[in-house]
Amino acid sequence: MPVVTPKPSRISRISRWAGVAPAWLAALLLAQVAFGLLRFPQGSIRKRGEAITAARAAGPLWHFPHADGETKRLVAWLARAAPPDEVIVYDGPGHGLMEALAAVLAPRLVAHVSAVGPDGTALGRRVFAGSPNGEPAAGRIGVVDATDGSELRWTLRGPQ
Amino acid sequence: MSAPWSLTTLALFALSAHALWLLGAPLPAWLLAACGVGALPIARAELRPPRLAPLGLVGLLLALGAITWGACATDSRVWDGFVAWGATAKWLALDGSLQQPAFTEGPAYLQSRGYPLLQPALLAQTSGWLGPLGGRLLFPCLWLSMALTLARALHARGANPRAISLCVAALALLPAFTEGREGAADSGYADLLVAALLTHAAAALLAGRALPFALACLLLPMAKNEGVVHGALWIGCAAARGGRRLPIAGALGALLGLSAWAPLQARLVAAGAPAGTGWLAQLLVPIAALAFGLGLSLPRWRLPTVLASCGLVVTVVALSGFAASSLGEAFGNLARLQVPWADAPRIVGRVLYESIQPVKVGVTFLLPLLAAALLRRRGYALGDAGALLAAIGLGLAAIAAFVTLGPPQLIDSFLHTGVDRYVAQWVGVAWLASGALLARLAPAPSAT
Repeated sequence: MPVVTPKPSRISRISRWAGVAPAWLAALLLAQVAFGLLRFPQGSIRKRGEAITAARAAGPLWHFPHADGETKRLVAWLARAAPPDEVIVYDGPGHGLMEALAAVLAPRLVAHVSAVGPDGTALGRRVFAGSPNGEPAAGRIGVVDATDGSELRWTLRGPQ
Repeated sequence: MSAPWSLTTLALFALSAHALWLLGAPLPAWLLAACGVGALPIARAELRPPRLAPLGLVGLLLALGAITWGACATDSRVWDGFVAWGATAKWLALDGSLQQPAFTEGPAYLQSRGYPLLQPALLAQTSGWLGPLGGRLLFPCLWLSMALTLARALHARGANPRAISLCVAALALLPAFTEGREGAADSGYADLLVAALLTHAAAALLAGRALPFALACLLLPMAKNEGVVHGALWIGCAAARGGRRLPIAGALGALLGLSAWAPLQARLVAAGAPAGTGWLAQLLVPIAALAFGLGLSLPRWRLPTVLASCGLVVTVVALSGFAASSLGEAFGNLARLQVPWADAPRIVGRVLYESIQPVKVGVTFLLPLLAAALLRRRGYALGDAGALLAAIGLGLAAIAAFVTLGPPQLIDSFLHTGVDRYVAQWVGVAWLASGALLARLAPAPSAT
């Protein structure tokens, strides 16, 4: 009498192919891989490509998307003009946009205004005293006013 | 293939770097390369990449390409990767020294003062050779190390080659690391390094290999502040499953890692002021974890050892040995018994949600649970994979406890962009647990 072997169902064939049993666990594993593959072109390629293009276009302003125009102009100017051997001084708690500004300027030294000594230096370095609009410093020091955290302003202050 | 980023290389580099910093010396530009060469005799086995079926290889290469592109195209495009981890790396790239004003002077601005330095130091070294963008190849290398560790560990368990490839493809294509959000592989956050180290620890535990287990426990506190908790979890789980060699090796590794990092961290946080000796309390953490786990595995000694380890934990908390960080604040709040119970339900809910979030982790954490339930229903013991599940469970519980006890003003921020990253640190472990459990449920070979 011939032995009749039942034809394996599609899902059990998947299980054998995947080397995983029972079949519903194999299906779950395959579904995860399929989801990853389906999502890959959109999530990993297109969105990443858009972010890279936008980040290259924004340059140092990438991390200041919601900042006001004056803050953006100040960041762009400091990134361009601050010399590597001078210290950029700030005032305020140092949260918010100041975190991004310090990272944009790194490894240029950024220090709290309290570090400025009577001789106008801070941490043994000259304090940067330029001005974005060309206003002469005339013995004053430049300070990034970061009191707010959501906006940065450049002020020239007299000796402490 | 992954040898330059092997656990041995990382451990040699981390120990040399921390020793030099403690002595006040800078890191030479060739240090990482020398450690890679020095690690070759031990890491030679990792030179041969594990064999993968086409689907696993395709998934791995696709994700590797995307991550490499994302990492090397620009500087970090995500906040903490740029303002915290990346900025520190730029300082270390100057001369590899911690004697610069950014590290020694309190008024100098350093957003991530007191953050562990392993990843920034690695990035500084690779940037020194390959430039600021080329140096970011570090991130795809770390990611590859995690994926290949999964493949190697499952091969060593004798899992079905196609099942291994599916697990590797599933991990490789996981949006949590492959897409460019906070904590992703190319984001510049240190969560990837932690995920790779957790996967190494899990693989070592499955294989019963004491040296890599010790090295992973050594490196975890040097990678991220929560690494001290992760190390303790692994030591406790390894001890509770029985056996002495592995948990003792892990505890010794963690003690060595903390002895190198904790005093340095105290010095960095003090920024010129006296650092004190409070950091010594951290050394009790791995000892407490070892005592707790061993106590659980020894029925006769269960009560005294568990009580003793709890006493050690209370001592650590009371001594406030943790640096001024969110984790330190969490322990401080625990010491003061300031527990915001009202926030706990939504925090626990968020952790649970992020562990089943379909678009980030999919069935990563569900699959090993289902496989484990099935094995238990059929009357089988879970074996070493059970220890991985316990570590994942405790890891998720630790995330909820940390966010609940951490700085109250940061709860919303952690819920928004923290919890998903902390959960994602465990994905390599979860896929390793899945692969190990599925290997025991493999279908019988078909009759010919």
